[in-house]
Amino acid sequence: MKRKIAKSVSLALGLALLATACGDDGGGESSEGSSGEDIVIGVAGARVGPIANVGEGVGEAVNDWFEMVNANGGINGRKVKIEEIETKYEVPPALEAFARFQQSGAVMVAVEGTALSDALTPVSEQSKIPIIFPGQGNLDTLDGEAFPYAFPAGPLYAHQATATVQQQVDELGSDISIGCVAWEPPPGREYCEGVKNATESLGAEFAGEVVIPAAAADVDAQVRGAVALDADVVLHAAIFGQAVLLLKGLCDQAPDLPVGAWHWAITQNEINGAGAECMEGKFGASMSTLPSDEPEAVQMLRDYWEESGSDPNPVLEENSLYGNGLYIATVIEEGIRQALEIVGDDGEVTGEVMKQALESIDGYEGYGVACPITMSEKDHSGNRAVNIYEIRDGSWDRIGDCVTGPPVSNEPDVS
Amino acid sequence: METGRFHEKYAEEIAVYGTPYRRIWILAVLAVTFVVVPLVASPYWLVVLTLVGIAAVGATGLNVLVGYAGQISLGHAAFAAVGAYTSGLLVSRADAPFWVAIPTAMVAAGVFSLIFGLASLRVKGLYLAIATLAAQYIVQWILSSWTWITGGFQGIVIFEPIEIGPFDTTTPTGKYLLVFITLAVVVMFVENLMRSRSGRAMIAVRDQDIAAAGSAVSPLRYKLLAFFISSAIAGLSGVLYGYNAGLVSTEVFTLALSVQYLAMILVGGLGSIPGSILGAAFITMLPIWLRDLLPAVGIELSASVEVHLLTMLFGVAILLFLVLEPRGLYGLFRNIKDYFRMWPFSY
Repeated sequence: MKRKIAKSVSLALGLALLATACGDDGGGESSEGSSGEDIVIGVAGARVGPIANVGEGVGEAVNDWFEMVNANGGINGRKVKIEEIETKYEVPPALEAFARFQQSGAVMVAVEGTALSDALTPVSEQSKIPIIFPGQGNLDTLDGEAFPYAFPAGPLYAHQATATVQQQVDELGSDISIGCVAWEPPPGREYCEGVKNATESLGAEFAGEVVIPAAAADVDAQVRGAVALDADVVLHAAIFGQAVLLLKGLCDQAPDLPVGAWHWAITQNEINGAGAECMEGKFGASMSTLPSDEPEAVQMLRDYWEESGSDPNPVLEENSLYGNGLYIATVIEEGIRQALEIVGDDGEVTGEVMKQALESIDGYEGYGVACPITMSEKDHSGNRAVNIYEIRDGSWDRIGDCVTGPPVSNEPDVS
Repeated sequence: METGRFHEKYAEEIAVYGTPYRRIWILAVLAVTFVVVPLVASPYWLVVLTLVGIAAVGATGLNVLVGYAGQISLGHAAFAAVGAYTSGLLVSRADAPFWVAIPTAMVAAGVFSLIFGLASLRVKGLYLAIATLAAQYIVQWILSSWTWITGGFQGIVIFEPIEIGPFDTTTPTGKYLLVFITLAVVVMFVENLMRSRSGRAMIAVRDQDIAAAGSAVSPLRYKLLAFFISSAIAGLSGVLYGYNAGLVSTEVFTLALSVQYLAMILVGGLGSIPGSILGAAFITMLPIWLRDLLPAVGIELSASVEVHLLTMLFGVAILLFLVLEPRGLYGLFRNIKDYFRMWPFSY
């Protein structure tokens, strides 16, 4: 009798399991900005954890920008709601955050950090909500047909590297050797791979690579390694405290060595940490126009702060970090504007409409913050250009506008 | 009136169904897990529960090693990575079916862990923790440097979804069912393992390895067995992670994940399977509860302030919990249960 009951229960459970497997997954809230309502944009933030400075800079800029946009009446009358959820640069919280954005009806998600953009690429496709991650991510996501809902929309690490090498070759000639110092996680390694790739393409010599472990508190060995490369120029993909230690070390051991950086390390933090004297002549690439150049977007924000009686956000002083956030914010704004053109000002914006909208962006410069951005169904790169800055008299001075390097050998063909 | 629970025979002590009610409870839990939740829960909660389930598989694996065998590991994220990459590469490059790739991945993770398990014969405690930490660093270095294995610095390996009839792991329900069916199998396996000779031997080694050796229980054999089983289950959690996210990359299986697994079993309760699951739920969901709590009580903060406050509250909550209830969530649950079971003579 007992066995019979157990069998019956097991059978019932099995049948119920089958029923639930067949069940509809669309039972939750819709992922769309319904007619006339606020348009929800998710931000998978990273203000805590290994890229906290990036998260803080980008997060503040995106929130500031849309506070201003909403105060000025929104985009074609539609307000934009920014929903930021902290991920600590960890993947499981990012997956949870994405599901929450979906539940909130987000039509696009801005992602901070390559690990997160990688992890969210499949779920963005499954849920048909585009993710946008300018200045990060991996080369494969340039291909819009392979990854239809992933939008790098800006120069990836390898592009930043090739553009910087191009600028050095243009300035010093191809008879130079360039070494690279990489932060150990994938973005840093991909940057140095880009340097190697570009030196080979442009006829220069790649002097070698030195790697800084992700959590290293001391980089003296890497400083010595970089000097030992005996390169004419050293480019680095270090971040925050490690970048400062590296620059200080190189100033001590090779004061005349030209040193350049990727776009997460051309902040005020480097100048304050390594000292203005040490930093004089150092250079770096930025996908955004630095706020210290006072592009139109920064002037708009300053006007808004003045009119509303608020103090300017102190994070603005972090320069490239805030500037890159403005880049992301303005691309989101343009995406929404294009989406409203497709569906009408009171129309229903969905993730699929946002995808279509992003793919119709053509030559957009983000109020002076970005080099011209163009995307299509096939090409999600946006652009491959960076501005080159050099420290002169203690501050970042632009010496190259929208420089593009040679194509990276392993990037997908999106022509 | 029941005043306590006493076992007169050894068989009673190791019985799965210690009381007649337990069978009903287990059936009820299964019915809720596999029928009610998939039908009732929103896609968002299915995603959250799936993350809890994956963490619970990993934590249950670690509990075999730490809670039952008395060893320690700071390398379980690495073993999860070995499982995830083995399975992902077998499917994507060798076109192996998932039912071949998953067991192979578990074996690979288990075998890899034996290298570090051997250290457990010579070192204990913190020294063993550091030895297993080496696994973490070695795997992270391999993943970021051996690009011929991972296909690039990002180390991205795509997990093709499993589709069997109506069962589809691209949907939240499909992912949830995959994870919780796996968790149920893992729980059943570990529960039975601990009732077997091997399980009792592991506990003997944990409690006093010299005495165990004197009773013809080989510490070498059972420590290595614990490492193998524990890491194979960790490898399985890595595979589940891959199917849930749709891919794995080199930055997923970090030291932080290894520490989180440890936190889960400490908060949930060492040497307890329900404790592993409760700990996984606590560590995964506490940040979500805290995040939702602030607006619910009318506290609106800027994103910058809120995130740092929540991080601090998360730390304080874990600290308070460990101080006030060192036996973990399962200990707390048992206290409450016993109170009501013994009522009105609960003292």
